Amino acid sequence: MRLEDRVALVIGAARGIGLAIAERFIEEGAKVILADSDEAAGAATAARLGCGFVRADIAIKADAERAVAAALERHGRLDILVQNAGIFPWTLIENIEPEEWDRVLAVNLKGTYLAARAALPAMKAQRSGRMIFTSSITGPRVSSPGHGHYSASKAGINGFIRAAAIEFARHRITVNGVEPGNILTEGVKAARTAEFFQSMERMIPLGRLGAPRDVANAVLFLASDEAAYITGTTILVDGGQTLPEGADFRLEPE
Amino acid sequence: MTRQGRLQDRVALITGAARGIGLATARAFLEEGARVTLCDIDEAPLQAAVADLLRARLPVQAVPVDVSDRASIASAVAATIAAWGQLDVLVSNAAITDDTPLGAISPEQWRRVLGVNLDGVLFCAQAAVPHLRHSRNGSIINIASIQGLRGQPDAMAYATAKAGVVNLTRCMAVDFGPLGIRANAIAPGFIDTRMALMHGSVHEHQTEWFKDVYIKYGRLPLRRPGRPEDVAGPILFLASDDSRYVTGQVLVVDGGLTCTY
Repeated sequence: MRLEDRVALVIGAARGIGLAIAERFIEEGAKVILADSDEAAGAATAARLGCGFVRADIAIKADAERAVAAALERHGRLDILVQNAGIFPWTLIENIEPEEWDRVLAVNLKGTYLAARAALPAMKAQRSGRMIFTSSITGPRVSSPGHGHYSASKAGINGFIRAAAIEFARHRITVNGVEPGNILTEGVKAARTAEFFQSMERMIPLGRLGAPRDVANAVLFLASDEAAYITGTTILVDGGQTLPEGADFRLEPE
Repeated sequence: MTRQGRLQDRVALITGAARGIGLATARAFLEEGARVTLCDIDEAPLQAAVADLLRARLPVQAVPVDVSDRASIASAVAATIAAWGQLDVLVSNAAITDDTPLGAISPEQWRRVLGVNLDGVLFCAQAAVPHLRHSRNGSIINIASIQGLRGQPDAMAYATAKAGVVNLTRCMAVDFGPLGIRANAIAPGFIDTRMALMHGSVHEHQTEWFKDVYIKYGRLPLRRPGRPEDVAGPILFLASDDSRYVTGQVLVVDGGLTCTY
């Protein structure tokens, strides 16, 4: 097993990509603690997977520290940090109020820095660690209408990954990210029409949308020994979607 | 010895496999259950490496290949099909180095570097695709370089060829995606291989300059050159089902070097 006895904290793991990451880690022998701002869903998921849960709004410093403390308390160390929590409201820039802008940046970008900062002391003391952050193709590579704040937050994560990789390398901690494309999570399935999925599939070289497990496999690789010499970079998990000229560009939500 | 059988029942062809990254990749693939054709232009070290693997009763064969020669590649692909009836993974790793300054590079040198490092990658893919398309998870992994992502002194031919490999890989991903074949590249940084020898003698990583700038002052964040195995692991990821939704990617494996460039 590739993560035997490794302790992992997965933030934003009640459902979707974070849940798939937690499941994949457990399959590979890791001891996993889940964190999520949704206490009911997070606790239910943790009970089903048989692992620990801590409620955390990652935009709040004390919550990030509590999540790390929970992992340390339960398992005595922290080898892998995954910060996957993110929000993605759809609003054209002309309508984004400062409060909404601040909330998106607070969860997606500030939450990433807070998670990294909270996990650092334990990993520093161990002189080893892996940090993996969920970025997106939206922002770092491409964008579409309605994602002004989201794009800025995710592009910011990529910049933070490089900076943290440089600063933490001396402690033998690597920092990387994944950039998912269109992933068929339960939330995405509910929000979109069949026509949308068909038009998306036509634009993706591999001819399908991604599955949460596709992203989880890339995160697993970055957490494993095989990625020891990789730091400060991201893996795109998008089926090649960002390579050809795309066609889906609409100014109005569905 | 199979670890997880991640390449069980797969057949791979690796160029530049006599030593370094190519040989480490062959070993990693074999551990995961693959059968491997090892190709290299240097026949003696290739045969020695393959003899070693055969002594360990591993399913390998050696085919001497010049990747800039299409007929030579065709024979390696044909030998692979003859031996095992299929081809699932192509690793285009063969390359030659060149550090000729701007004023000195001749048209012949330029052509030779582009011929091996860029044309060779195209020719290998062309020969492999008719077989890869029948695979359940056909995967092409081209070895580029971080030199192909940035400007570099005295490396016009090498760095240009590697930049070509980067975008050739993206085009392959788009063209081959509908055939069910993925194409990705790896951009390694400083790796301890024969290619890091400067002018045939001194190892770049042993110079005072390297120790000062890259290690002491941390311009290379992880503060060590990579080992061939550090690149073989990421190649295995791109060959396996774990990356089945990853295509057109240029995965940087450089210990953080390009973060500080």
